Amino acid sequence: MNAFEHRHAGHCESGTVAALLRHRGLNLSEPMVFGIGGGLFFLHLPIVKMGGIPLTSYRDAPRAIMKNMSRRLGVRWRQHRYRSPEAAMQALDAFLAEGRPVGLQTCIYWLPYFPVDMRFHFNGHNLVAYGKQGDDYLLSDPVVETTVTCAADDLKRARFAKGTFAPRGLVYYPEHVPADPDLERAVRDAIRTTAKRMTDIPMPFLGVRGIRWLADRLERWPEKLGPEMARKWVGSVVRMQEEIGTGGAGFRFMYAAFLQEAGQMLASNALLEASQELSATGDRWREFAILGAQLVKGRESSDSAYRQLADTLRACAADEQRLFTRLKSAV
Amino acid sequence: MKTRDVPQEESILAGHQRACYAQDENGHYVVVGSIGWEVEKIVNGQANDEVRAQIAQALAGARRGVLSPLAYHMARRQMDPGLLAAYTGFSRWRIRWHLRPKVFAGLPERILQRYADAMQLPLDELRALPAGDDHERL
Repeated sequence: MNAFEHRHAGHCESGTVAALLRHRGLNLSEPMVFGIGGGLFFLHLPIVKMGGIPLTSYRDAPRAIMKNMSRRLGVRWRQHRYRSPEAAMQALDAFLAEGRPVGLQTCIYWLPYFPVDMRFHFNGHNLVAYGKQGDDYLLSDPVVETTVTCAADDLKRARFAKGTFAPRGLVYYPEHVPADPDLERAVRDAIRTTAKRMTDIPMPFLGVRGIRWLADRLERWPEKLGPEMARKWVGSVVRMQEEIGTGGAGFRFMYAAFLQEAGQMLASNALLEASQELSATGDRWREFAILGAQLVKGRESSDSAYRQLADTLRACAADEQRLFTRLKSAV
Repeated sequence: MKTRDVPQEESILAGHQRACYAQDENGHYVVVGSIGWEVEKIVNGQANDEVRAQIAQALAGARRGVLSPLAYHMARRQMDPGLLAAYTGFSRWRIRWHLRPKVFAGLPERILQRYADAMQLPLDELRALPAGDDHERL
């Protein structure tokens, strides 16, 4: 089998899926995988808390990108979970021995090649294992700029981390990859679905409504939580947008890249314009991140600073409302 | 974002790069490696300060004798009783009970070994506290 090609990606799930499919001859960019997988979303769930902080997400649920893009393109996967870590490592060795790169679900905390300050207990990290040298595994972690190696013990621990969304040794690889999938239809269907999900779900915490909902709540955080806790919550939103691997602006730039590629493929000016608009909205999200970081740093934490943050969010919501409403009829 | 605007600032990434999508001079989206962004450094720093504060608090409690060394090692592994329960198979209640110094001191080796395995620590280290305050987190 040919050598595994490593490519630096914005996000672990879309990067891993794109890499595994590319190896099997289906050459799609990461934004294409992300877009066809309907990755873009927004939600703010005050009732679901992680470490006491409400969950904010700029994308769909973990593994949804892989599931949706595969359904739209007709890709089928094999996946296994294991009860015994030893059996899971033996199975991995067997896959690698037959020259088959595989995707693994891991916990970032136990992966030593990440800098200490980036290592938190997050169980949803995807990467590719493509070889073994002695006791070290050769990994292509899409969010790292080069390939890395990882000792067997560390990888085993990362694959059998416990807690929320425990990987239980999950390993996956494409079983069937269509030679010539109908990309145009998949792209149209995906854009339509994402646009509907962003604008039409009648729940206050999902899609564009979720952005406004966050804005309204965030404005009241200082009086409700006190200044210290409020700063912590703002920091967590900014981390979800920029720190966890989104390609910038909470996946907005990656989706703009997808719309650009889709626009060229379908020769659609509407999509190319939408890509430009989403780029501008992404810049606005970056402004939100800058304001949020200033607040966290304590340079500015008056009520007016929170109002400014909330207003920036509302401007992002208005942008995305307009954009996705138009996209529904553009494809 | 334009490629020239991709932040290349002081960093938490320890020499690594983060992939950012940005538009080149022709407007085409490309992947650009960012060595760091102040915004990221601030919010990541906030999260890590929180971790460090919890470790310091647990260590101070253990030194005063109101908490067992388990509290310190748990904080150091960024765990709470819930997560440690998932790793060890002990109940949260039992783990909280083991945070008492006297209870912890009387634990048999086979219980301690399960904590040591779960937190990837040698048994001796689990029983002890670090000499200074400038100890390693990982």
